[in-house]
Amino acid sequence: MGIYYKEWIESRWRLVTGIIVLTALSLFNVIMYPWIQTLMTPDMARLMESMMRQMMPFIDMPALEPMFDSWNTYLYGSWISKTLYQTITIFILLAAAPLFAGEENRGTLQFLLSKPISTLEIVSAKYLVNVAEIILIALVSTFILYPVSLIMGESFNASLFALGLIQAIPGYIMLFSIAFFISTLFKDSIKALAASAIGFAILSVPSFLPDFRHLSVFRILQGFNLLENEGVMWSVAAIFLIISAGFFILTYIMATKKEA
Amino acid sequence: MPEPVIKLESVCKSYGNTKALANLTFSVEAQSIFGFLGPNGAGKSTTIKILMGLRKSSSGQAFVFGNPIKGRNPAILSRIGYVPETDSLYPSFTANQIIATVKPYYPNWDIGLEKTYLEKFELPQNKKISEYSLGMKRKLQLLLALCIRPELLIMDEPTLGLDPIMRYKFLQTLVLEVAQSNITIFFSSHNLSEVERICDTVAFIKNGQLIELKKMEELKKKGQRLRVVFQKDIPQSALAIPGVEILEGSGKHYIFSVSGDGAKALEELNKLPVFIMEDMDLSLEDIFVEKMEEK
Repeated sequence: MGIYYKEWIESRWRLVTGIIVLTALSLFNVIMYPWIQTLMTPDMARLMESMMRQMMPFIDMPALEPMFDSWNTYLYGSWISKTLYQTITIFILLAAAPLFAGEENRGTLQFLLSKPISTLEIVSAKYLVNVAEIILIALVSTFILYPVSLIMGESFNASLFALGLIQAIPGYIMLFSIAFFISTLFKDSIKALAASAIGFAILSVPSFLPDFRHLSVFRILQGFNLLENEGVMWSVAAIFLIISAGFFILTYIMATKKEA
Repeated sequence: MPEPVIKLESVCKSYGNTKALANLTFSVEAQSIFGFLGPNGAGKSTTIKILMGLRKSSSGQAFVFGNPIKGRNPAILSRIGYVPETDSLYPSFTANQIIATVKPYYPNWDIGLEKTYLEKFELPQNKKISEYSLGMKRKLQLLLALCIRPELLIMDEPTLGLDPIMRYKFLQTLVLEVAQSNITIFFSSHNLSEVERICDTVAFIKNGQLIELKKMEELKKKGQRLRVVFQKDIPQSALAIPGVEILEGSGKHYIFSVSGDGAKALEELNKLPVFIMEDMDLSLEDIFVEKMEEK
């Protein structure tokens, strides 16, 4: 368990920072609601939507008007479908890049490899601690909206947000698994971060192609299908988890080849 | 005869076209203090990393405790204390956090010894490693290596960068540990006086090849050096004695290196009109320089 303790010690401030930043962003969405509600009349929403569709036809533009219908659709659209997935994606890049590349860069990998810890345990500890942190940040920053909604005198559709997270979390795990694997390919955190960012940019390409939008991981993370009462895309979530397992195995194979 | 703790059989290691180790073969007996000497880039650190399973040899085979090393083996690593050449401790950790990280992996971790060394080395337990001096980091590495109660202690330039007082304390700790337990120590060093002081066996390595491996006593006997003052001038031509080499001097005063059958060489020298003959103690440094210039 020593290696899990080590990973926790190394990443605990990242967890604290992540929770603070995302909770602040989450609350910012709440604070903006009265102002948005005043500004975004149905006519204004329709006008804005049509303008954006004409200006950027390649963008996967959801219908804006229903987004401002109610407290829950606004909050879901601005949080789960926008701020949360964007911020968590950045967080994943920052968290995963140094896991192996940073250790090589600092020379601390030699310390770890010279101890009687199996490579599987090293890889598992890094993976599980960081995945747990990502999930925890997403959960805390989302469900802080529940008491805040009550304070604001609004009802909170907890099941909608829970299903949104259930659909998104396998996607977050998959993105982390890819970035984690990429971290084993480099000896410098910045290079690993840049390579992961390029990888994520490639994954976002289907979002811009109308016929292939359903293949975009980021579209799944946005979870518009749940706003349209289409239910959770369980098969896609399962595929994300299978791909994650594949990248975990690849990371393990690469880690066994590491020389200090 | 007991099995050697370390055995290398024709170990080779190449990095691209550069040969770091070439057919390195030697063994280290149990409970010995083995000094591994060589100039920079000789292959000392590569050899140590191969023994630890941190690098793979290109060909040949290394054995530790009789087990072939084919990569990292946690079962073998749990019996080895390792002090690396480079600073590999986590800078944002405290000594307590580093200890808590590694302790669970060593069933023989000695808590009493941990407390003793934390006090003896005056290591601040809650200060970050990034605030430690080089000497403190080295001492913490030694503490981590000794508290596991290792059967084998491998150290790569352990006293590099330490001041003389710190180096003395470091070596004193090692000597005490060896006296109290039955561990085998394998260590590389540039500091020849410390190797001379504590090692019982010494190996010289150059360009990845073993040049010499001897017991310290044998090594010092082997390279006898004599200062001779004759009663009258002796021409160099009269000193062509087998096993005797003139290192410097002319006329009445000479310094000779005596190798091979020393007694016979001395007998031949004594046939000449010797006024004073004294045995000059050869330091390991003299031997090292000689070995490195030889081949």
